[in-house]
Amino acid sequence: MKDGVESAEPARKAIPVQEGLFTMPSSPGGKGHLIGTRCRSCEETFFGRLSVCGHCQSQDLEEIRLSDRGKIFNYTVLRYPPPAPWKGRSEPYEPMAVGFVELPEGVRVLSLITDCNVEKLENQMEVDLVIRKYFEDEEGNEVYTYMFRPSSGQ
Amino acid sequence: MREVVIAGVGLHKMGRFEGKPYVDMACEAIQMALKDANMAWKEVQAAYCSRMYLPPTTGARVCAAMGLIGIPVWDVESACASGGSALRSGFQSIAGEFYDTALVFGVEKMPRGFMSPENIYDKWQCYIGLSVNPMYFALEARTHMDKYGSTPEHFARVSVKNHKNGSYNPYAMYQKACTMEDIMKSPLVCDPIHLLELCAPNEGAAAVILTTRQVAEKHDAQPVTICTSVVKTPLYPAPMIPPAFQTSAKIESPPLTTLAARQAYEEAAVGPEDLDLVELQDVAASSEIIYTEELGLCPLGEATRLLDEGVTEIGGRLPINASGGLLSNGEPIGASGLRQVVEMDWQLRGQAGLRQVAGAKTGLGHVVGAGPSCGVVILKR
Ligand SMILES: [Zn+2]
Repeated sequence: MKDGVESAEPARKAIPVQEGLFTMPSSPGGKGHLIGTRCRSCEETFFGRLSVCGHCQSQDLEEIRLSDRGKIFNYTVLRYPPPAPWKGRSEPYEPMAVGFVELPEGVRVLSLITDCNVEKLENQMEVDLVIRKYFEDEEGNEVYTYMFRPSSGQ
Repeated sequence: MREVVIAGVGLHKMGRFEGKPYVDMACEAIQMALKDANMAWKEVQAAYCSRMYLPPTTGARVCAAMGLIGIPVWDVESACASGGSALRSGFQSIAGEFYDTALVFGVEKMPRGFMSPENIYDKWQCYIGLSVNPMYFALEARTHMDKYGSTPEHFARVSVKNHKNGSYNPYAMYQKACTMEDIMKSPLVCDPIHLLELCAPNEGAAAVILTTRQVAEKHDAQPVTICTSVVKTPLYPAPMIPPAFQTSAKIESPPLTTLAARQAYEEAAVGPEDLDLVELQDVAASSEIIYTEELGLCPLGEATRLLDEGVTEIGGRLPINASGGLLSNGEPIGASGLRQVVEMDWQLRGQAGLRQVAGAKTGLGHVVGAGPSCGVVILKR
């Protein structure tokens, strides 16, 4: 596929699982963040890029950076692997925790909860944003997603 | 608006029917409904087909097999609320005097195992695994536990009740009672929900003939009145129903089911205290507890008390899911909401056999599905 002119570009790219939800870590070890939208009319805040406020229908919106730290609002544990086309590891499958993470901006975001003992999670536990590779797609791109993990020291 | 009645109902058993075409299943339910209404196929002036997993134009294909009579046929889909949406479509077409007689039917043949999440969720949600329906039921159940002190045992007891009811229903997929131990020892799927507390995807068909009282009486049918049929989508913020992946921590609205129920009670001039039976969306056992409260059948946090006191059993003051609910019947999505309507029609006419709710005169049916949307119907004899 690659000719001489393009050879400077890496064949594999790091890409987000979905545009408009989070920014990619700019350098190895660098951090990305969740993208938020704030309505200037009603001050409601949303996860991701929106063009209309879901609350008051205003189009006077601004993009903001959502906090990296939140609290578990509620959670559950998926004891069986999700159905295809889930891209995580099913053999061996480790039960995954998922839950709503409440951010200080007043929005609850559904997220995987990672790097934890799923039997020891609790509501109100502090969690931090992680943006990391989740799988490789058919073209060999590294596909990243957002997740949360218990804050260090817990 | 003029009065709309159900003149006849038909049902194909719920379950798995390998090799039996969906057209045959639907036609059996429709023939049964026509016979019940003492009507001929050519008296039907319009048809509404509820389906989700079957192909486009399912409704027209089924009606063609019934005989080409030139009527308009619409497929209606709103995930698990499809039956409620199709019923509303038929209801408004009679109430609004577009037609005198309409057929509303639902049919489904769902793939075995996990349903494809791509019908409901965005691709990225599927890729990272945030695409598991029971996960949403579990999150709602845990919120109810945190807020009101319900327990996994309460949810299991709902499943015991509904499976017991299902054992009296010859149309149910599972006609076998089970014990608390069977349920609590079945595999945990998403904490706190066990496998025997989740409804199964399956196959089935249901049909109802809607018409005016005058036409029904002319045919010597036993009409049941549709007091109202309501369909609602939520107010902001999004409830925790697939495919939502965010919600507001600042703003609260009444739950979607409450919005639909309030409108239905008002339009029907019927209150929760007037109901003799309820068929609701027990997609998970915990959902029955949550929707019992959201429908206003008791104050918030008191559905477990109703369950403990036997109020919601057949023989109790307000039997819920006397048919066995989705837990015993499975959920053939397109057919499920209309199966509830068929069940209530039989109950109100005193034809529900061993699971008959004595003296039932008024019933409420409830479906809620991804999108999300919610349907509530109130029937009266
Ligand atoms: Zn706004």
